[in-house]
Amino acid sequence: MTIIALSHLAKRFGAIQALRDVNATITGNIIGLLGPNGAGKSTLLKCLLGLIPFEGTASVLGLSAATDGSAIRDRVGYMPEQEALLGDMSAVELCTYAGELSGLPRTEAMQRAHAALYYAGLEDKRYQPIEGYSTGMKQRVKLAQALVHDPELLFLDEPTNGLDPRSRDEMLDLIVDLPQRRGCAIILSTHLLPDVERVCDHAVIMHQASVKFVGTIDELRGARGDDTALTVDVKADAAKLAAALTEAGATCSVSSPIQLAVDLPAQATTELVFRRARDAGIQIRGIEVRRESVEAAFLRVVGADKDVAA
Amino acid sequence: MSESTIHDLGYKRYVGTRQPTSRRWRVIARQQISSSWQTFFRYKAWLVSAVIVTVIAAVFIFIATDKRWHLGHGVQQTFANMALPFALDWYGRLAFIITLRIGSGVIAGDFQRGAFTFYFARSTRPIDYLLGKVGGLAALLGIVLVVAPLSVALMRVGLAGAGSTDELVPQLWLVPKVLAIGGLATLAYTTVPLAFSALVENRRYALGVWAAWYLIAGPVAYGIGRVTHLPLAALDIAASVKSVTLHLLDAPVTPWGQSVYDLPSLTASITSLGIQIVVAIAIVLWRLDAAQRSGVGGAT
Amino acid sequence: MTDTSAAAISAQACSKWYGHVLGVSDITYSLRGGIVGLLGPNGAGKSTLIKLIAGLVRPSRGTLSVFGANPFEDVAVRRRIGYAPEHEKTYDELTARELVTALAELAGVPRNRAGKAAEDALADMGMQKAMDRRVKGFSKGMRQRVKLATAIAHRPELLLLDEPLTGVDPVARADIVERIKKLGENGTTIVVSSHVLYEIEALTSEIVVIYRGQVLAEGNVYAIRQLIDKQPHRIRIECDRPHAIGSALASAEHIARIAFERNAVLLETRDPDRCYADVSDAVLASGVAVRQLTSPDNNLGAVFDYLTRSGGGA
Repeated sequence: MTIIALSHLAKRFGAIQALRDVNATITGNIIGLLGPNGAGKSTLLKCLLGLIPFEGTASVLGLSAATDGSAIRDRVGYMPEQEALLGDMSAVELCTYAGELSGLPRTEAMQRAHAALYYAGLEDKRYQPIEGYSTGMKQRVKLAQALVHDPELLFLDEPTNGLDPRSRDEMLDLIVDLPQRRGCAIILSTHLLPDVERVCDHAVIMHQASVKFVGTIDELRGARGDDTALTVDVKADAAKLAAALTEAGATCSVSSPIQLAVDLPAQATTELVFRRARDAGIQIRGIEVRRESVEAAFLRVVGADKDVAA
Repeated sequence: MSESTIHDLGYKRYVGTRQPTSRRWRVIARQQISSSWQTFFRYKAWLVSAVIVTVIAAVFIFIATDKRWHLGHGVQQTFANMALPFALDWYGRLAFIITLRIGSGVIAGDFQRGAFTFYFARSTRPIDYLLGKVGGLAALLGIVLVVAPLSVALMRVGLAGAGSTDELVPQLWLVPKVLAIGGLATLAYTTVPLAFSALVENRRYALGVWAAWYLIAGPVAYGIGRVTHLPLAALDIAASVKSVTLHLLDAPVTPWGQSVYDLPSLTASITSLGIQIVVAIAIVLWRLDAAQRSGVGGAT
Repeated sequence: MTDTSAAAISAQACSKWYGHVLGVSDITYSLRGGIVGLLGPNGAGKSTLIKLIAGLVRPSRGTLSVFGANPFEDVAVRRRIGYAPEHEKTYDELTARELVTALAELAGVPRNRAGKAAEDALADMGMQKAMDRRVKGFSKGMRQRVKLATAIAHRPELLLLDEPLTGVDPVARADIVERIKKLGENGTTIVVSSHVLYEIEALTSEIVVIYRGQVLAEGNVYAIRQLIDKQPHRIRIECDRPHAIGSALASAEHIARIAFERNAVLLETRDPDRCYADVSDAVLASGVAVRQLTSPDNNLGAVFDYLTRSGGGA
């Protein structure tokens, strides 16, 4: 199901071309929106929500961003990165207000506000003013207010900002759960690529005002089917194992006394590694399919430039 | 024996209708009113003061009725007839205090805490926000500037009604006049502080600029206007409202002895207030438009 | 003359309260050098500790010395410290060069050398091309670079970085991490505080964990992992017949728990060395096709989780 369809989308602010001939069809459950600062992500968001005029066509959930911006915003939940909460209200009041502002009748908004806050894990303090909340709780309120009006699509902008490791894990678990539990798709905009690796199934990478990649995470970093490229960890004597495996037809390269990279020959499986290791008296401590990390893939797509030019 | 079940507390999608966007402003107005109602000194204190003024006016009307109030310049009036101008004078001051407490900080406060990201990421339009805030604030100020003086006027009419019909008929005109004065004043006291609030994106500074406009720039313009005989004096909101009050109520002198001839003319006052209201609304809409475009999306 | 053989940081029974609010409590810790990651939940006392080291606050009790001197009182030793706080208001109208030069002078660099020091610092942080632009228009990544340049302009021997990579995009992050590592290699002692554990992992394997105002753990991540005896070692085997492996190992005494996922078996063992050997034997004996063999908790995230979850006990 296509969530977003873009065709020759372009936007210029005076002399600056913020978006340049963007063409993309975006699908998926949890989609990572990645890109260096200034790549055009926030401009793209504004166009998709129908907040600024643009050239080309853009449709979100089947609605045209140019003409149906209001309807789109009723179906999209936005969790902003920056401060955006009305501090003198309590979490319940804010979420109810949010629901009503998106067109829900008052009682419906109240019920859903409570449900959203329960989901986000904010039970105890939800009747107290938001200004007294910790960073973690404020992030949860931001998530809840984005969920109140039953959106079909969620934009999450740096949802783990300022959270300590435990809260970050909890937030990511919530996010992974959302598509099944609430039937909405998620676009996650973040600089933290390990988060993307953990929760996303698709990715969109932007750089210098255009889209450089659209597709699944697996497509981004190399086919999943290729199980013959391995990283092998041993207790000791990596070189000795490398020699034994090379003899059997594999290609090896030793990266440290306890780790080596192995490319298995055709028809061979990890069984070869175990057997040769046992014959050589070497203890296997780890075998992993060698895949580019999302970070490495991202840097490759974007073409990292060492010195700051812009 | 009934069956045992475990209920599915799972999530149900919302299948009802959504309210049309044209009704959003009511939500915002309601929220503005409830938030202003919260602490005592935001609004309630001044409402109580307005009640006290109304009670004093009632005393003037029903108890001091025919006693003479000396206004200076050789003019005198009955207490009953001075009750309304006296009360309006005080209502105006209370209204100004209310604008300091809640009116002038509203939009600036929303800028400061990023509330426009919250508002405009939804289907709320700038016009809905404007109508909501103006509606809410006008309701609050209207109680002090329209309902309270109206009750004084009705008391005065009631007093006249106890006498002959000759007395009653002219007093009946008080009602529409008070509504006109109150309505105009409410609009002015609602929209102009909002404009400053929208221009200056900091609560304290916005309050300061509005207070400076009302308390300093106004009287300065008034002074220059008096000396040069230009209609500049009408820029002073307080003076313009007073002028409208005195002219419509046919009172030649304010309760404190200021002659109506010292005040800007009726046409100048109404024009000035009208222009300030229109310009204020335009400014607010312009700033809200900018907020809608830049508020969402941040700087990623 | 300051004691050059003194540890970079040395705290003895150091506590700090703000009225009733606890900052840190009874901390005894010393750091000789190198790069160390400072971790802990929000409110645990990390910022307080950094402020104590930077000399911005004074301990309520106990002592904390940097290079053998009291940083709160000793101006000379404060000049050997560079501090990049998490939040900073900068003078947006200045250019990067002007800003860093001014702050370098404040940090004690003589006026005639401040300009060059600022230029070198900005170049070290990758800002050669942008240093004459106003800070106002900078992205978050560039602001972080400027902040770091400010902290190193006076060539401090001890560098305190509080969340140096927040809001920085992945391209800039990889670059800044490299530059910080280079500083560490050149002999600067660096303390980095961050919530983003993989950033710490990229920089160092030495950590200090602050929990409830106290030092909960310190040292090498992997060594700390070994010390967490209560938590058995987890090994995950992704294969086509997980139950075959599971049943082969169920009789081994060192196995504490076996759990099954759809395509994997998760073992918890008290003796990882024996377990690995047993696993290899089981794989070869049963002919199971193993896709991956991993140890999910030999990383910083798991260590941190165990330490803080058990509430301060190893």
